[in-house]
Amino acid sequence: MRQAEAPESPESSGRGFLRMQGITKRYPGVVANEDVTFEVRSGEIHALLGENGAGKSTLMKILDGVAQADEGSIWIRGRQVAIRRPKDAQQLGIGMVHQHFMLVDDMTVTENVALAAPGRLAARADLAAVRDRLRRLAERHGLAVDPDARISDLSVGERQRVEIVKLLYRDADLLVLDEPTAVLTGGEWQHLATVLRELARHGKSVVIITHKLGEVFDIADRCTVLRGGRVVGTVTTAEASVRDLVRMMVGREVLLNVPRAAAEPGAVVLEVRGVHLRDDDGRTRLEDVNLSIRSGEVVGVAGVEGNGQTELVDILAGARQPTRGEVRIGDVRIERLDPRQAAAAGTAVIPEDRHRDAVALSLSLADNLTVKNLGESRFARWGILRRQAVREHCRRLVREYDIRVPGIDVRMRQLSGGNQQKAVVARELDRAPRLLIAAQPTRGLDIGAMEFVYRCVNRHREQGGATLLVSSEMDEILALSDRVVVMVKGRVAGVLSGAEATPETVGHLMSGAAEAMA
Amino acid sequence: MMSDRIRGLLIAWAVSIGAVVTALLASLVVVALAGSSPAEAAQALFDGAFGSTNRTAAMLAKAVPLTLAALGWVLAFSARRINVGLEGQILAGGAVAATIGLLVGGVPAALHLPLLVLGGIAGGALWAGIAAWLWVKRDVNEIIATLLLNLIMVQAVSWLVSGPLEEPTHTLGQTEPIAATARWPVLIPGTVLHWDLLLVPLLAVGLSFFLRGTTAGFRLRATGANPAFAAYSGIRTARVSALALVASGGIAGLAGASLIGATPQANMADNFSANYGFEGIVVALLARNSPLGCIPAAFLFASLKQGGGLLEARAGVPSGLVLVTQGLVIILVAGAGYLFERRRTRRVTAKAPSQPLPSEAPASDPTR
Amino acid sequence: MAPLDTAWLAMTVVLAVPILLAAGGELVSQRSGVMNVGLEGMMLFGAFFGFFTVERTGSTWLGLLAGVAAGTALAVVMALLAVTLRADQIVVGVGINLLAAGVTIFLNRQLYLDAGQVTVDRMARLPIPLLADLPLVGPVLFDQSPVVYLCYAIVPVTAWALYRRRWGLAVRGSGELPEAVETAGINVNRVRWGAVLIAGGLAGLGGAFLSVAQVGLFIEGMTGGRGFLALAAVVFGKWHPRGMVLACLLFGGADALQLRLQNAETIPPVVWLAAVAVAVVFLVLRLRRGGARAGWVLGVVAAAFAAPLVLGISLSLPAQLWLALPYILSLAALAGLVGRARVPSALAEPFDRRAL
Repeated sequence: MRQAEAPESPESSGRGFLRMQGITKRYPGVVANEDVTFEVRSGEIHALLGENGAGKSTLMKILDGVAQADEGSIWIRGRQVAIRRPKDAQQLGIGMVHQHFMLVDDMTVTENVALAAPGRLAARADLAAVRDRLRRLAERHGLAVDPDARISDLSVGERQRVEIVKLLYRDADLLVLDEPTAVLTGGEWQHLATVLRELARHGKSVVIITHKLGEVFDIADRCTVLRGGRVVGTVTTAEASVRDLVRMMVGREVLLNVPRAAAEPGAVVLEVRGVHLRDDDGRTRLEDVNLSIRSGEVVGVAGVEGNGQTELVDILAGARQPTRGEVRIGDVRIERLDPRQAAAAGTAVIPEDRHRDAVALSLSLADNLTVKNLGESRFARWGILRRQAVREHCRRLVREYDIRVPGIDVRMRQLSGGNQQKAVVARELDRAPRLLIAAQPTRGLDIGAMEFVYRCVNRHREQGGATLLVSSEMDEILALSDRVVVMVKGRVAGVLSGAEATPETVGHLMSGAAEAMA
Repeated sequence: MMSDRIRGLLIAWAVSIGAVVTALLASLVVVALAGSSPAEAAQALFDGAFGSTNRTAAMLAKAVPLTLAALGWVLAFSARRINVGLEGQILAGGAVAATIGLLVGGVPAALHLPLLVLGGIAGGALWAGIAAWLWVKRDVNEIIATLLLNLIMVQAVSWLVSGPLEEPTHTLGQTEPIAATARWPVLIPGTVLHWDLLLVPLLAVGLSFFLRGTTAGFRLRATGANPAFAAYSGIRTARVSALALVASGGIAGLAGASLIGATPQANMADNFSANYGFEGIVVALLARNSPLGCIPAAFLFASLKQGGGLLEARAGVPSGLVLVTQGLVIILVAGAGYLFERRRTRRVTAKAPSQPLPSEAPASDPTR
Repeated sequence: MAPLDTAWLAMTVVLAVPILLAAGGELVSQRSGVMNVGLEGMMLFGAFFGFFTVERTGSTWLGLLAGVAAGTALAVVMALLAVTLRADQIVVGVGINLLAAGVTIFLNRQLYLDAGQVTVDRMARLPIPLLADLPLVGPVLFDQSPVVYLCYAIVPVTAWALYRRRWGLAVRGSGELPEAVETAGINVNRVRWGAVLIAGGLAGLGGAFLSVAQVGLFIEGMTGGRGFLALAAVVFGKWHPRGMVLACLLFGGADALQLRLQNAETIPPVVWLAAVAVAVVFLVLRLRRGGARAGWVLGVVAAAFAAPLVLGISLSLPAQLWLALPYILSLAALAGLVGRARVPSALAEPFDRRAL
């Protein structure tokens, strides 16, 4: 691996199109970007690589004028510029394809392009002229789109092409694509890659924001890796290996060596047999997943994000139904799993998206702690909450799980991320579940809270609970797991015993499959 | 942070009271501009509501449907459902109650009155149930549906009082008085105040307890606070929301039963609700959706309504002024909500910006 | 053909005009994502101030202008609160309705209570030469007051603005996916402000038409729910100009019929026939498109309508049914019984550009 040469000074960058210099963006309590310097040349395809929460999106929001940097400067073609709103970015030739397409479903392709084209509001929407130019642009760049089609009738791949045409129509020189393959099928991606290469050949710059290595090696000339809001490095893709990039992406310093007893696996708690999942768009998300976890065992699921882990967790939590396959918890076969049944069968879940699925920010800590206990007779009788019992229970959880709050009536919103997660862990583990499903349990936490979560997982294991740990942090997986399952493209690519699992072997499985993808 | 919460409550009350005071002052300025004496108008307004036992009793009687309508709104809103159909649900409840009061005869009061009350509840709940059903099964926006249902019920009542239920002379466009057995007994003899006043504390405290102290209320609040979270926690959110709408309509229907069975004339006339359903929304807004807060807010509004009567007679100021004041209160309180929202958004952004997952498109992700 | 004659058609047009004016504005407002429930209040405001101006100046045209200004003034309040300050659109609308009812009652009694019923000259009809002499169409369409002719332009102008101007694209985008509009460099809230002001102005004009052109006097609460009728017309018209016009004409027609039938003891067979014919046409259209369930529903409706006729029973339908019909139809449209109405996705949702 070769680090790119020290960035040239803005004035001298001959081929440089964009330079973001020393960008720092703080949100209260969090530094999203710290001293980030990012450079894109004309005619290159540049990947901005990093796990979720690494700061990619914040950086691009700053470039697009949606957010403003606290420190740092932006240079375009060697000239410093100020980008205060999306309009400024557009006038500078910056165009963004958002992950959630900015297309109005109810309008045609032509109308959407006309909407995004510059011009005064009172002006005529010359749809015929727009249609002509749009057709020519599309033909020149090999983007097959029907100008008269209604967006709601288009496939995801077609919509993405419309987004690109929209940017070309505005004469964008820099195209930023946020997670372009999140919604694409393999074939659609190949087509898109061809188009992007063609655009780069015509002198346009392309940035793809991604956490998928396959995409990087598919088309990127260079790649900048972000981690924890900082730049880890910029490499020339041709000279880098998959393993280098994996290490740059997920390599978090080893924080702790959690001491723990040897595994004493007992009876099988979770049995997943031949689970398939097709999503609403008909794409296969999970394919023949088999998995079993015994009591007293932690099984880590490693893999670059977006390879089916989220879907697997959703199925086990009862939030989603598999298309095919069988899930058994204990000796109960669960036909139609719903969140109630899953909980009743002894499953605890720490969901991946905390703010969406795990907490209600506007409710009190006490409410958040007890939402899953409503059916228990010690807390409610004939539908009436036993206030005293509830409050005592909450106070005990606050003490035992070291949730640092002035009282149990504070709004969840007022808690730090670490304390919120502690509350989730307390709620889920206090019910002494047989099976714990922990998805990215330490994401966004500080070291103290992280260590706390690790201790909780270990204690659960020592008490004979089974754990499924899904994480994109390699060290986390290795430190906690008795067995490691690597998932690639919705399939189990391999299973390693605790002794076999090392950064090298796991990384090999991950990248091996990634290479097969590329 | 406990003190934070108390401070928040204090600010909320200060805003509500400030809005009312400002609206009143603005109205008095209008009075002055119109050439009447503001002092006299204020005096008339006050006397109209508190000048005699009779008037205070009338004020309290007006507070009953106002509070009930407001509580109906609060209940639906706790699940974040917007029930603009309270007016129609009041009318529906009243229509069923009137039918029971007129057509059911020869039953003792101990049975007849409860029947009237239950009929009112059922009527309101049923009418709201249409909107709830449309929302769950056919994905129809409940705001538009409840609004349209109001307008349909206005016509239905108009038909009833000029058709099948009209008094025998067919001239007055109203029903006969309902059977004496179906009426609420008078609370203070010689006044228009009936025992249905008891419903105010009963339901306000009841709703407050329901939301805070029962598992069903808990599920309702959780669904309103974050539906995805509620679903992940095993709550059947669609059912909970639909039931909230239905129950909300039931409370409004109860108000309708009062407007039939707890009035001196004890009959049903065209458009007998006269905007209680919409004013209830204002009361709830003023109370910042707190069930107990609805009581003082409703009394305040009832005083305005009742006092307005004397305004015209004594001070020569048209009673439309009361509506002006009400409108101003809504507008001021709604505008002041901005201050709160700004505080809230500041806190929301105070967390790490996380990217949405590739496979889902959470429109509600607060970071976006 | 007693009830359904030329006079009925002419009356339909007259009754549809104020609804159509208000609905045209509401359509634009709702397409931009603002549900303006304060329409009724804005119409009432326009009716009062229009009448007041005519009474003082004697100029009908100034009165209409004043109506526009009065409606717009309330719309400013609406936009300030519901767009800029992101208050709940429904609540603000309710407030505006109360405010407008109060202000007009207050001023009406303050100014006219002692004077008895003050009237002004109604706007004279202005038959258009030649066209007015055409059979049927002439008296119905071209022997009306000038405001009616103005109103004929509302629909094409609305359609033109919504579909042929960049502004219209922005309006439609703001109601569907405001983020897309904002990232296209257009200020969503500015677009919405404009749409709300247009809604207010047109509603005010509709109100002024009622007081100034149609009856020549002001009565408290004289709009009598026409604002809500306009709202229903937008819903029943499925948020499209053409559908909205048809809805307004249907509502106006029902209203005119209701007025004419008020004294009739029984429903004349011709009304039944017409109703059945409409139902059958709908039925055929639906069945051709394969909407089986809707077909059933309409079939039953048609049968219900036809039955008394076939059996030779003369039933009297209450006027209230005709008055409620617009709302029932709108609800049915929403529920997908008469084709699926698609509500603008961002309707009634405040937009905050910082949340992008």
